[in-house]
Amino acid sequence: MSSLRPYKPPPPSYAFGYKSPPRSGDDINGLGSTEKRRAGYVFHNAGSARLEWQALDDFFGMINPWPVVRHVVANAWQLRNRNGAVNRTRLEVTNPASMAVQIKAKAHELGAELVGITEVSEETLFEGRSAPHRFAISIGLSMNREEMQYIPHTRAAAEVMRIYREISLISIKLAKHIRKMGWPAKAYGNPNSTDILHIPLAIKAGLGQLGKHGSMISREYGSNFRLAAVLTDLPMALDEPVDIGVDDLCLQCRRCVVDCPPDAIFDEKQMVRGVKKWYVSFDKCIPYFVKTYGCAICIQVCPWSKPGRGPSLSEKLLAKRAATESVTRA
Amino acid sequence: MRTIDHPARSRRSLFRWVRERFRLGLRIAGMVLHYFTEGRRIRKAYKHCEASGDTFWVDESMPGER
Repeated sequence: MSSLRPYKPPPPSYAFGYKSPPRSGDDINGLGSTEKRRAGYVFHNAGSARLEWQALDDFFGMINPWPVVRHVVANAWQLRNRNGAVNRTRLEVTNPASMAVQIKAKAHELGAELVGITEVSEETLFEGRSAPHRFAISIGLSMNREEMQYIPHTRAAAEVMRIYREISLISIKLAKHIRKMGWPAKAYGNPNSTDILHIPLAIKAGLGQLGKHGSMISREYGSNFRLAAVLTDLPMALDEPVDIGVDDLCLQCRRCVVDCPPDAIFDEKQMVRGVKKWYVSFDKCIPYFVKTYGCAICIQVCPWSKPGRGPSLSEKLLAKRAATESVTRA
Repeated sequence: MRTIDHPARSRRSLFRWVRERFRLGLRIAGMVLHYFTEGRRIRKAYKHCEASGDTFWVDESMPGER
């Protein structure tokens, strides 16, 4: 464990559990399955249906301390404005590329640090859910690194929920701005209750790549950020997924694997619902996640999350790959 | 702590607008009340289990499961 972190993570032993264990979360997630299908709800969900792991999810909500929960409550209240009336006078869009630039500038003006635009697709929606609009603006906001050094601790958990609350407000304001232009738009700023899969959406929108720890790594902030989105029909030019060299790092680096107390991170990519990708064992991760009010060790120990390191790390990794490829070709 | 989502409506009357906000406020107030009442009991029972080395069975002790 890092000597820089002021709080020592507790061991992966639990004073809670299931008398009758539910179906494996890894099984529900489709670990080892070659069949292509959408992701299903396991832990957090958007509806009233009870999930396999509902009892643990409810327990998680109840043991979280008030400094964390107060942000969840405030976010739930502010999200009353996530949708609303659309201006009857519609601004016609003749240049989607210019509109994308305008919307990104507005998102940055509102406080978003990462912005990307993509089209909503099957892999970005939970099973049984649909999207009300065609396009998605994925936004990211970084967390206070000093507070996050307290992982896994309520202090870091409070920072996570504060950022979710803040980015949620940014998405609400951005959606309102688009509705004023005469186009429907809905904000998706709730981490616990949503129809969309924020990470696949953000990756598709070019915000970053999936890391070994199952979270997205962005060029600028590593994994030290949280996501929200706005879904709209406003025509905009779309972004493409990026290659910033994440695989080049993750294939060699074992920092998150070594630092994960419940050993939930795999060394190799796994087959998950027909796609080979980085995956974190749900069954091992979630009990520790619950015990530590959201853990987040893996995203903080990731070398890419060190402030200011990402861009140069990306450049080095891509240059190294290009050099290796040119030698192989020669 | 569950949060709320519902289908979007593009145009709403003032009455519906007020009713929706009232309902949401009521649900959130219910969630907060639940957190401080039932949640207090759960947190206390869990702390007791942690101290005594017992296990808090979530599938038996959580309100929705009983």
